[in-house]
Amino acid sequence: MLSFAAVGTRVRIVPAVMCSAGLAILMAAPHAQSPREPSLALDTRPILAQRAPILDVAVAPDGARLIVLEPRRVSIRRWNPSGDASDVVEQRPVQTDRVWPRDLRGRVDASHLPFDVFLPGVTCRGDLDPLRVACVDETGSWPGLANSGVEAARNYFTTPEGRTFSSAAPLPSGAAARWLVADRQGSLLLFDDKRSPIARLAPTGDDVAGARASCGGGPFVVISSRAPRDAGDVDELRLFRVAGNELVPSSSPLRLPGILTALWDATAVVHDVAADRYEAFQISVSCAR
Amino acid sequence: MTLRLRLFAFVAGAIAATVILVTWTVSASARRSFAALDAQRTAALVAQFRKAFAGEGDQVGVSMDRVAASEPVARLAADVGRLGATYARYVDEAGPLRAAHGLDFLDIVAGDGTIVSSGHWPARFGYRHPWATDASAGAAGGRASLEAVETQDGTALGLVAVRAVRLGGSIGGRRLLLVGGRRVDGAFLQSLTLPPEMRVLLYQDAGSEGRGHLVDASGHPPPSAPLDPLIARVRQSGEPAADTVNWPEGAESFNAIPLLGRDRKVLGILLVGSSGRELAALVGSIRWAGIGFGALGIVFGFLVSYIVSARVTRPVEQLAAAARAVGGGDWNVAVDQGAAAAEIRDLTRAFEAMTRQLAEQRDRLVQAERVAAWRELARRLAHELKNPLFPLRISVDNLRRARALAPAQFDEVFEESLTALGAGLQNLNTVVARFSDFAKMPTPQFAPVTLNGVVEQAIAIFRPQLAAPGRAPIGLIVDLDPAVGSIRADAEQIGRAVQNLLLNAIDAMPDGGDLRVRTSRAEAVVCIDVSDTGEGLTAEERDRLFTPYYTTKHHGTGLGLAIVQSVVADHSGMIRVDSERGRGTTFHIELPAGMNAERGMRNAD
Amino acid sequence: MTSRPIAMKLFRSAFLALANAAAIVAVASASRPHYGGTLRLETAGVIRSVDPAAPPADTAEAASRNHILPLVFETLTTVDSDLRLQPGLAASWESVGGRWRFRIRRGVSLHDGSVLQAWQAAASLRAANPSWAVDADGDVVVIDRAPMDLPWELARGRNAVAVRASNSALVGTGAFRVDRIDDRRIVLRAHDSYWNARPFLDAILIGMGAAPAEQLSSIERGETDLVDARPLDARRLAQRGLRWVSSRPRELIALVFEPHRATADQAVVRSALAAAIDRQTLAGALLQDRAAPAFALVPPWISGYAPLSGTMPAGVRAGVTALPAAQRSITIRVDAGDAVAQAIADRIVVDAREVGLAVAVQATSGLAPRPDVRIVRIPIEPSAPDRALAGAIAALGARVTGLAAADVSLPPGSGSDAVYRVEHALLEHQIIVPLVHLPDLYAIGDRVHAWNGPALQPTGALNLANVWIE
Repeated sequence: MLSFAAVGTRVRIVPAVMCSAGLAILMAAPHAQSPREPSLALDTRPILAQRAPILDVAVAPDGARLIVLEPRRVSIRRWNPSGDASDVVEQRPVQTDRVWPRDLRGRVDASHLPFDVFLPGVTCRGDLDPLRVACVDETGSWPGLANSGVEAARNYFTTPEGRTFSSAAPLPSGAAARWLVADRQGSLLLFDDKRSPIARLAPTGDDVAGARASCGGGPFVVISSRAPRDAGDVDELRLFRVAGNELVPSSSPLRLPGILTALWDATAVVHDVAADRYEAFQISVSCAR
Repeated sequence: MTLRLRLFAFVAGAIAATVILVTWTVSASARRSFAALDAQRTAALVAQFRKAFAGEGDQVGVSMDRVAASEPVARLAADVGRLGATYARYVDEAGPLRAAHGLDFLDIVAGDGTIVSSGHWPARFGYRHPWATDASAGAAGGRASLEAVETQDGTALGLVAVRAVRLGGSIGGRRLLLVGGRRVDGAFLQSLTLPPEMRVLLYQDAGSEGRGHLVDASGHPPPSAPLDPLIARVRQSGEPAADTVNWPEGAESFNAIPLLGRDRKVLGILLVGSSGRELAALVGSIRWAGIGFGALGIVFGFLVSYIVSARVTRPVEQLAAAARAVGGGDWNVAVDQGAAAAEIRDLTRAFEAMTRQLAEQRDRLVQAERVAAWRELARRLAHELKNPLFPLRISVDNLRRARALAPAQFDEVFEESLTALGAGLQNLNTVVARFSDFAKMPTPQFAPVTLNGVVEQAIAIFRPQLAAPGRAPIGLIVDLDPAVGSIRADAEQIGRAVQNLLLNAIDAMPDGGDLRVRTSRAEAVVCIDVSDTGEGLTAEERDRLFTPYYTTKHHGTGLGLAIVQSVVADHSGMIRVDSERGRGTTFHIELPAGMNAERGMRNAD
Repeated sequence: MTSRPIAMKLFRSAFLALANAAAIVAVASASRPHYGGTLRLETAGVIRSVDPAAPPADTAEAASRNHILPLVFETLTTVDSDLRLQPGLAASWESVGGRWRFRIRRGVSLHDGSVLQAWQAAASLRAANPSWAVDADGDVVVIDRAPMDLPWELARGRNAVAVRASNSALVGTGAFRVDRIDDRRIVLRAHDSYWNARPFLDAILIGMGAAPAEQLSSIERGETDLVDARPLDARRLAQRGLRWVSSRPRELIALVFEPHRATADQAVVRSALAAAIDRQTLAGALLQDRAAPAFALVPPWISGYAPLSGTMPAGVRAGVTALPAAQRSITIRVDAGDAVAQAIADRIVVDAREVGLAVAVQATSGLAPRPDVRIVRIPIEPSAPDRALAGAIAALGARVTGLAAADVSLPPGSGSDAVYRVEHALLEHQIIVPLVHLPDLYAIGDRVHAWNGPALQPTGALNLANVWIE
């Protein structure tokens, strides 16, 4: 399926038709466009690449180190925002006998020290200088949309109301929609502040994260989805602006070098199956006029 | 040959000859008519084939146009031409296309002649098509032509058309060639409407693979060997030819028309066969009709001859039978000629008159013979009695004269006279006894009798006499056939008859000789032969031999042979004599074997 | 007579690319995988017994068992995509003086909920291999009198650990447990306590005994999610937008000459036929790049070397022409139910004509006149080269290998030189003629996705624990 999106043109994308001559027919219904809207693009900046699976990467509060969460360990690397991360300088095991589920999800909350590590059925607290990690078998709430954590043998969250979701991106207050939620089937829903769905959106996606453009505008969200089949077995990220109960594409899709395994805020982790390695990226939105 | 047979032969022959002539004429005419009709039907069938052939070719062309315009082909051309797809992906393309458009053959050929996909021989992709590029110059929209198509089962005949499809995005003229068509085989022949007793065969040339083969609409073609000479002729000349083939079930004439391919090469031969069965059946019918009429004619002839002859030959036969009856002694036979022709009735009346006269003459003759026989008997009696009576008269005269003599002389004369009288009286008794015997011959008493035994007994009585002193010896030759066996007869009478013959034979050889006695069996009779080597008999003596009292001997009553004849007659037999003067005499007796003797005796009564 | 294919470039297959890429072709696993759902799978073989050590009744059952039973019963060791031994149920092992000690992984739960003990593993191995001396020592399985390459042997499916539960059913440790089995279906359910993480799927519904054509129709209609596919179906799969997964080549299709054609005086015929066969076209065009030309018994990715393809020896055509017609006629027997073999045989007919050989194909499933050649399918075990070749030799049978070469002994642990020597000896007289190597192929429905790797491993193992469905 070919898809085409003109930068700066809001179009409704419909499936293309391949005829025998090999042409794609595009049916577009342009919406009214603001002449002053800036052109946006999603950018990725590699942070880290390694063979072992990466669950999350967080920048330490001092900004000079990366806290890397792997399935069985937490490691520290020195980091320079303008360069690559160093080799592992410290590491500690995640002490648990649990058998991790497939599609293991893990998150590091390093907005404070000690930092928190969230794993399915396990919660850890760690500290730097020296590095310490202490884990308990506990299913606690992860950051973000209120939840009871990721079930021990699963890869999704459950709200207190019992709704399951894969991912949720916060939306600014002032609007009825407070969360963009990707449910387990890849549908995108808008939740209000009471965690009730108020709209189902046309695009689909499996992971969502909030995004901010330096040039303002928004609110923006980054949504992951499978790339078209002819692109290979890779995922792509798309930037949308939340306009009421609609998502308006705001940039060209950003094709990732593999399969997205984690999207936490501005951090994306991709598994390059062919190269058998995991890469972590910083996601940002760039503006151009 | 009888009149009836001659008449029958003549009538039947005339009818048969007429029927044969008519049959032959009608058969010849039928053959000529059939030949003409056969030629017309063959021409019509060939025309039908050509029309169907052309129609099939048009349909192939239309189908190939559709294939060329089909979406799969367009997609293939676009993919290869525009997107540079390799042909490898399309090795299976032709199969579904072939099936979808009802074709038997379909090759998708690249511009350089390489087979991209073959619907009828899927494994052949990658190899070069033998002629697609040769024909492609004029292929676009061209008509279908007859081709020898290679399949995995051999070479097949087909009507094949070629279409060219330009590859998408190709400016230089790169193209695909579509080579497809339908088989020309038995299924094609089924579409033809055949007149009765005609059939169509298709000879498919096998090219370099060797021997071609025949197909027909039924799927069971005849063996090709008898057709090989005709086929070879057409293959060589490329021109139509005709021939007749003799199958076990009858002759069949074939017209062979060559089917030429694109390069004028003989790829196949259409053989139109016309069976001679119908003609043969008609000729057969005519023949059977002729036979039937001939048979009827023969029957008619038989009836005519029978009726005609009945009116002519039967009266004649009746007359002949009556004549035979008269000859056999039945003088009272009558002939019914009421239905006979007038001439035959005249003949019959004359016959009857003659018969009556013969009967009267026979009666007169019989009476005269009786008178003669009585005279003969009286003469013989007088003769026989005169001899013994003469000495009796002398003796009486002597007695009378002796009365005048002295008593002693009278006694002597008296005694001599008494003696003479006694002897004479005895002779008289003997003569009377013989006559009495002949007069009252007893009725034979039939019983199974061993004939050879009776003969031997009779021989035994006379055996001593044969070598008696004082007479010339007589040789005895006895030849008794054991096959004679037993007969029903009166042994005593047969023995007496044989003894009489033996006595006669001995008496006929006063100077000696040979006496032969022989018995034999011949079919239904037994034979007794008694032969001597005496003087023999003259013809007169032979004729009167069996007359009573007739004798050639100086003694005897002349009744012996009469008695023999009487005995033989009582036994329903027959006696004859063969004799010539100076060559001896043979008496030949034939008696019925088995029961016949007694039966004959009853008949005589 | 048609000429040799002149445009070989049209049909040249990227068989090397296939060899390298087949292992990597992965089903799209882009989206966040979903837990739950039932995968519907169809297979041609009918599994009559779930006992890993039970011998299969036919090749179809053998293939099905190789794919399905490892989902339920696991081995102490495994072979990875690079043909390296990896720990399975055994976390580690060592050999001292011929005695092997395998330490059982801790915390592995059986399907009945109990924890796997070493003695249970030992009992299972003992039952499958009566000639071994198998015992347990704590959490170690001790094995004596076993082959030198025991770890490789233990990776074989027949040596999977199957424990007799209290209800006499056999239970394993795999990602799935047997829920029920009958003549035509097997239902597997996710083992929630699987030691290597619960699978995404809740259940797998396996329909057995379905013919290849039925399977294809079924997946086209959306009634199944995963079916066996044949190389000949590639085009149809593509036309219908179906995806497929492929292992690396692990089956050999070869010609085997019968004894009466295996004599020295028939060498010209064998040589001509072997040289005439266009393997590139077979693999690339006929089998739609879903096969690789084979010039050896063991595919290069297992043997580690790629034998050179031969060219037509000089004078072969003339030699064939000089033969009597009877010797130039060859009958190839194929299994009537094997469409791939029949298609290959039909193509060989055409190739053989080029060298003057008349080949007839005898497709039969019962008694038939003696053929001259058979097309055989030999499974190749993804294992060490010597084991792979030994397995192929065993599958060919002593009669065939005895005709081909005098000495085919290959002690366990033999190196590449020995493997090459034996293989060369088997193929030298062209009594066995390799044609193509085939991978395992599966067609996959739209709702099937694989996470973190392909659904079908390069070794042919089904990785259904990583499969999820939309």
